[in-house]
Amino acid sequence: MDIEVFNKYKKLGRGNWGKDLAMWKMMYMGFLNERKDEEFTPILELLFNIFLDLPKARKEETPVIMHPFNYGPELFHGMNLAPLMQELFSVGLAPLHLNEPYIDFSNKIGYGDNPTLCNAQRPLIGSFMQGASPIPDLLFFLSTPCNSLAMTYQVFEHLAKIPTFNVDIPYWAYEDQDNEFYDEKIVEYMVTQIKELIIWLEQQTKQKLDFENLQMTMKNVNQSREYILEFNELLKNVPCPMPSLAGFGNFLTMVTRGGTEDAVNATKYLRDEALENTKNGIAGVPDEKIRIAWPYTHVFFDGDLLTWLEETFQAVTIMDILGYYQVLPHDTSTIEKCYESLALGSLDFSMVGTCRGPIEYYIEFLLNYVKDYKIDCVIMPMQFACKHAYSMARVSSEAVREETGIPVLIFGCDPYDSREVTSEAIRGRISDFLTQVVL
Amino acid sequence: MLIHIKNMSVSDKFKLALSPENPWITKWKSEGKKLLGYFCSYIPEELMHAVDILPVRVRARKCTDTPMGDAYLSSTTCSFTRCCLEMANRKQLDFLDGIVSCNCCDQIRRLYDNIRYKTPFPYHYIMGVPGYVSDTTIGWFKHEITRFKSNIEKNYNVNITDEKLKKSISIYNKSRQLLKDLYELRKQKSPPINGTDVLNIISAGVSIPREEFNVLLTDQLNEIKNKEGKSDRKSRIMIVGSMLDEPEYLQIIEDLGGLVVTDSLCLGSRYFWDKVDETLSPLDALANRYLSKISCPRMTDGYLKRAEFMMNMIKEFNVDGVIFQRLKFCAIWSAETFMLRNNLKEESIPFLELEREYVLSGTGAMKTRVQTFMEILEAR
Amino acid sequence: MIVAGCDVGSLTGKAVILNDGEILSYSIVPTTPKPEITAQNAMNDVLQKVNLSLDDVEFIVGTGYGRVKIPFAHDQISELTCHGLGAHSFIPSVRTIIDVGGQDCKVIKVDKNGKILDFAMNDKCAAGTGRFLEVMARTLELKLEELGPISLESKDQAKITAQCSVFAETEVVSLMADGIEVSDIVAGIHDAVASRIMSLVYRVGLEEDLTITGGVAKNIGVVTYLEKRLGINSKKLPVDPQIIGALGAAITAKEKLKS
Repeated sequence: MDIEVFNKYKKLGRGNWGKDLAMWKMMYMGFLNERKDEEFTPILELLFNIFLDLPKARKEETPVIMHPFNYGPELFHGMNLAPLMQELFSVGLAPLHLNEPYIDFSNKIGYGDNPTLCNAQRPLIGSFMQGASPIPDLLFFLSTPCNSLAMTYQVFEHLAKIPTFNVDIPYWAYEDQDNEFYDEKIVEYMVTQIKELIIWLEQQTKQKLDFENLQMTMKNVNQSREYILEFNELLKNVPCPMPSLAGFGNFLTMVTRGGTEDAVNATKYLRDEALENTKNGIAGVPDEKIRIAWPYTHVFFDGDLLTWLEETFQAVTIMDILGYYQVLPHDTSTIEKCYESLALGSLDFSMVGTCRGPIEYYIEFLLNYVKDYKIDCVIMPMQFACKHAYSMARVSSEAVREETGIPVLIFGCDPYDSREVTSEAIRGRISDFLTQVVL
Repeated sequence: MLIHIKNMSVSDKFKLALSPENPWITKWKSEGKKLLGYFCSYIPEELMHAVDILPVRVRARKCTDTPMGDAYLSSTTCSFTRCCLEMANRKQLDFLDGIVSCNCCDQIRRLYDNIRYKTPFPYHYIMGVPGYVSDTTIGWFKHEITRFKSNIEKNYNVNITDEKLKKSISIYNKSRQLLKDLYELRKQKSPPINGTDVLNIISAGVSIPREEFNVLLTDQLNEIKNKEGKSDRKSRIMIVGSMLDEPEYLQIIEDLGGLVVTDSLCLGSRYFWDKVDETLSPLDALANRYLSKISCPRMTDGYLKRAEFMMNMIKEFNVDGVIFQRLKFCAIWSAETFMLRNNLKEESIPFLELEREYVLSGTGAMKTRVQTFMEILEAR
Repeated sequence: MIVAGCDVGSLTGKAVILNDGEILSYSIVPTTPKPEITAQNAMNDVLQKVNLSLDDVEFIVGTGYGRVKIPFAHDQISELTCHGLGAHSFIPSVRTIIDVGGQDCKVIKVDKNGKILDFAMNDKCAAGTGRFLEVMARTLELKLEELGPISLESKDQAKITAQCSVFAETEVVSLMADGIEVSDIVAGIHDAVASRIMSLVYRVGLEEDLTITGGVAKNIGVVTYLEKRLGINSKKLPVDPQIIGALGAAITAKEKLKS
């Protein structure tokens, strides 16, 4: 990037960010230096802003609200709060192997162990107890579907004594044609909870919801969603115009800054890239040979895994379960419609839509994914501690094999802790699978 | 009443009823009546009872190893769910006419999915249970209950009227009162009944028709009401944890010098502590009671109430020490125990944490820990 | 007043005779498949050393994993309580005791009277126990007693990352094939044992003074690596650390006889 731009961002990293942001600042500076020679894209700008949001919020005395990775923060942006997606801390630290000490500390204080509680949230407790975690002013989490997440946030709530609000995601989908009770009732249920959330936020922050602000935010969200849907369509082409896991950028955008202008720019940028490549016949992976579906999370500690797959096997990994962002744009013309859009957005969000209900939701997602994106094989790196996912793996793989005949690899690992199943072991498994089964 | 057991002692009858495939169930089936297996205490039993369907809590006591369960549910899921899937696979749960589940925890809800795909029953149903308590979520839970009600009515061609529901609620409330009375006796310095027998009673209760259970329980209460309790001084223990349906587990603790006087268990105090409000309309009453009762830690907003419940129990029952038990890999109880022990530490109440597998085996390790804990308590 | 304690463990049986609180004799015998036979062997051995018979002993307390099977014991208590009392009798200032046995390891916290306040155990896997060291000795074709001193010769400790001792064995074989110095491998093994024990220490919390009991306490490598990780020195016992459990049982026998 331009030296001026670099210096500008370097300057923003100076000064006192606050005691609990010491680690956060270190991550920011490290990230900035690492990307020094990269082109300054709207994606990069967005990623810098994620970091810079926190010290800015502190300076302007904007309340910081921590939320999980399965909830889009557009409401918080619409109410001028500063959202902090908690898992950035574990996901962001994982490739630097800085996660492990907090996992170890959580073990040390007796808070769970690996296959019992998910390591995406557990380091939060370890890092909080060691004073390394940013401490939010407010805490928000979904009480369903994931138990591990809900428990860790509760423990954090009680340890750090932070005002907390829960929203319940119903088990069923709103398009459940199985019975007539649902279609409107589910959305109504969610809207009621969202209104309660807004009242609570107003009480906590002593600010009133500005409808125009919210409407603007939702319009931005809709625009971003349109770009993402176009982007997703383009990935269906053979060869895929983008390299592995390009869609993750879209997910990261929406889950941190969905509703802001830089989110619109970032999603547009990715869409333009994909469009440009498609027009010019450029493949994300030259001489693409294998198209992989990766219907779970990326192995976060191994940043080079997918590049290695590209280089060794000319295999493109189309999308992971988070990057498979498929929320539609909605009508936001009235305040009621905005609430509905918020409701539908949270029901359809990555991993919530597919994992909260009966296994059919996940199988449907997987089969559509395989068929629409012309997938050659499926790799499912299941996390040991993620019970609801690991317990679906075998039945879904059987459904895929039965319906499409393509091969599926399931193996267990811990995406946040490189010591459980090492990079070498994972690459070995995938190598064996691709060489002996797929090719 | 089954004729051939008429002359058995009450406690022997309870032991006979302990297994889900007991003579009461055999008789029930021989009369052509249906029984549905259910997995969690958030499912309103009264709904099924109202139309003469026997709700039987699914337990997998006969399971010894779980190769199929390990393959489909992964070997890092709780052994209870793996055992259930295994038993279903081996056709050992075929006496059930169907299963009713809820999304109480990740492992139970995936068990339901795997059962439907690999070891299906003639009838399946799953309820969505909200994760916290508020007027809105109680309203939603009423909706879920109504949906369940419609589903039963459609599937079994029955009509669950308010009349019938009210009657069932009254019968179940009677059980709750009787069990409360039973626990009251345990507050005494020398309780006339120990923890093993109480767990036996409640585990039997979820395996036989409710009216008969009430009769047996009334007999049991009359028998022990004025009985002299054991007077040898033993440490008074409270057991806190989740699905425990194996009286033998408490037997080990009681053989080593502990007397289990109270608990917070799925098949213990949490099962009956709150009654259904008979002044409300039945569906409202069920939604209210089942969602806002003393909660399981899967509810994300009830921690302070649960901690308070535990501390009150300790005071009222004069508890010397708490034993936490949980199934290995249970995320919910691991986190809950982490928080609850801080409450105990603050009050300097000794506690022991045990992890267990659903099938009791290799008890040497457990015995050493429990014995050491008893020795710690005795030395105080 | 002559009393005795008998500790039937998984790999060895121990017995201690006390006369008015002083150790008269002790013995350590290999275990047999039947705990009652192991107990008999240990008892016969220790009695023979001082020309006494079983009738001369007024009260006997059993402990260890086979404690309920000891036919001549008047009472039995858990080995954790025994290790607490036994260690305390020599080191009244001890507050934390690490017992590394053949098949399990324990950390015990005691008060100023040697009574247990808290404890943590690992008896589910071999990592951090004598068994792990036995397996490694076999793999490296060394004698068990040689391991400790060899570990201290290491210049560049190898890292053993496997949590499970079965996989650690595979790792060691591959390190040997890579030509890594034996002393470095052995150092890595000892550090791994220390690491496993550390996780138990964390659960209970370290308070000085510390002492290490059990058979593995005789391994200078484990003691050194443990002390390095803990950042403190452990107090050494003036007797064979392997008999501390039986000693604690004998002390309990004396107390029970008094009352």
